[in-house]
Amino acid sequence: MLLIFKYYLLQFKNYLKNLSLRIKLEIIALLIIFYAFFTETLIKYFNQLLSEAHITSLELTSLAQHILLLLFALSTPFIYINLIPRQKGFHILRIQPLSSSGVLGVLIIYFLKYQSIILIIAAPVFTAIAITSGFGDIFIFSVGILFLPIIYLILTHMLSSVVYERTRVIIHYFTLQSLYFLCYYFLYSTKQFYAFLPIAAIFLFTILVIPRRNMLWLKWDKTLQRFIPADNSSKKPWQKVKYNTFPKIVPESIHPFFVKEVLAHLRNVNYMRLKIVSLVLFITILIILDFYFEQNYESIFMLVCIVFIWLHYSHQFNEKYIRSEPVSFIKTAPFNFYQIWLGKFFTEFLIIFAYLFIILVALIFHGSGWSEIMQVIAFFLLFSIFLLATIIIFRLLFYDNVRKAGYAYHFMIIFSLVMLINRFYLVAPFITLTLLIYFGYLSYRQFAG
Amino acid sequence: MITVKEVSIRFASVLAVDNISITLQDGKLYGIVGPNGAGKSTLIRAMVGMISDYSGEILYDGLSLENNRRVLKGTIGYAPEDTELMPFLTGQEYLHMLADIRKIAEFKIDINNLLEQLGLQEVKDIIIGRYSHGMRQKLSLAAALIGSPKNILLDEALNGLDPISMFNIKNTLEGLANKGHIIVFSSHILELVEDLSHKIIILNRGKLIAQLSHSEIQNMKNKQGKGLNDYFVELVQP
Repeated sequence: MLLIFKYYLLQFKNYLKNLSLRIKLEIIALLIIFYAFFTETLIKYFNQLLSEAHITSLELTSLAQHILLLLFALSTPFIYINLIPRQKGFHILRIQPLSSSGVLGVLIIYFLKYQSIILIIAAPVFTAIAITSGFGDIFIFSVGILFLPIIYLILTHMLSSVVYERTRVIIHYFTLQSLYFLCYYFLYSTKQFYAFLPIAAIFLFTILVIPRRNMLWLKWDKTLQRFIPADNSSKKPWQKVKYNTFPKIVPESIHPFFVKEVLAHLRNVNYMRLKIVSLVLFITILIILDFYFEQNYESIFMLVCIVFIWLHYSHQFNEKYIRSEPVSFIKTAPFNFYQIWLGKFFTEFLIIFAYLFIILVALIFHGSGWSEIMQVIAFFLLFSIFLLATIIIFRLLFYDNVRKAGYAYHFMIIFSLVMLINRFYLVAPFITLTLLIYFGYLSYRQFAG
Repeated sequence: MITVKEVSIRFASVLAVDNISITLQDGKLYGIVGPNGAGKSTLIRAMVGMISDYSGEILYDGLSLENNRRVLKGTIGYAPEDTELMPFLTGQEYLHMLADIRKIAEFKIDINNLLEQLGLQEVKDIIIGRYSHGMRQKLSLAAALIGSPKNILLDEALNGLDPISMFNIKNTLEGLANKGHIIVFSSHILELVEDLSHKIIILNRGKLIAQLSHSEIQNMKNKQGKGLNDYFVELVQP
């Protein structure tokens, strides 16, 4: 296991070595900004809680700790089921004659890779607690944060192995997690034993794991058999739509890019399933709203629509739904920036038309006036266009890596939100717009010549 | 004519291409050979515009690639070493789409001919995601040849071909060269390079170490009894 850790660390070290000094400095500067901002905000919030909410510093530590543990618990099955099967390194190592402990080491590395994000979130909390509560609480906090994830990892492996082999449902895992957090909430509200919960949890989970210990060590290989690359292609009826018979509904120069994107979506079963389920769910929720939410209908309606449009775009940075562009195609095929940009834009906007149509019908059925309907439609049209335009800029900027595009985009969104929350109301939109123009220019530059 | 003038490419501390100057004439087939890491792929990638961070100059018929990339892209057909294509399009659709982007009028005959030559007719309606590595490599080659661009650059694209496809492609490439096209290909298979090239360019550790014409190799064989293989080993072995 140690050998596996060593080589992964070496890989990470080499990766850092290859980063340019400018990028290293940018990363450090951004980390300091975020760290300082969140720590300062948390210190204020914790002091306010301690003085106004009548809780002790130990209770506060325990609460913070369990919120972070909840994040660990919720992300664990997602990493286990969705992210690990996509790791290239994992597939390389999977076919090697690794010992059980070696495989466990590989799994731990991938868990740490993703859950380190939670540890990064924990860092400002850690500092804020140290400043507001002192060293004793930090010790309890550290014990919980460092030890419980390991227990969660073992437990989750065990549960998902059992569940996948028998029922192929992960509900057992969530049931157990819910029980744990309900138990915590009950004890917390009665204000007894709260500080000993992490230790109690470790003890409880150890008891649970012991009877299943054989499964942990003997069934690794069997469990790994299900980690096979996902095949998203299909031969469903909609695959009968062909490139050469596709109607020309956009200008000729954009047509190849538009059809390429549409066919990629139509032939991706995951994408089609997601869109159909989202649209059905959207219609259902709007019907429920119309029948049961007379009061505050407008505000809830707007919120639901914004969330669904946002969700529609959320697949844009997910490799399950979107494939990276081949580098040789982007770099050597003779086309302009606007062609590929508009091709992607029109494709994604097809679903937005469906959403806008549903919104229109819902408002008509609700009995809204025409001027109000037009205002709402105009708002959502502009909102969707703005959101999509920025997303495509990032997708083209990182055309060969969908995930990296997602990280960059969400980083910008978080940055803008932080600026807005942190009293820079007027500066934030200006900086966001400047950043967008800058990224748009960088994206354009890749295709200019 | 393609002119590569004092081109150097550096990746971090590694000098991948070291001050290379070559002139490639119209109507000729050029084979680039060299051991792993010699700079073959890097040089070709710079010549097709995939790498723009280099010193020196690359000119196509006197036009600088750096300043006329958009115009020159239409005259370059490129088959990369990796075969990353669009997984949800069928092979035929992929070529069809490229023909549309390149605004090639007579593409239907062209596509059918290429698919026939490369033995892809039977799988042309299957999505690329289900292709084997060899099939994707053939499709990538077909994509480079579609519309018969003036300059064709193939990066290890001929290596894995089956004998029938190889025979057909060799004929096609020779035919194109006879019509005045420039064909540049890199390969590890020295027999293939010797057989197909009018001129062979040998690289080692990023440097151009020899340029040999087909007749020079023949002379060497006749006089010294040495083939390209022996000569290559002599030059490259430390």
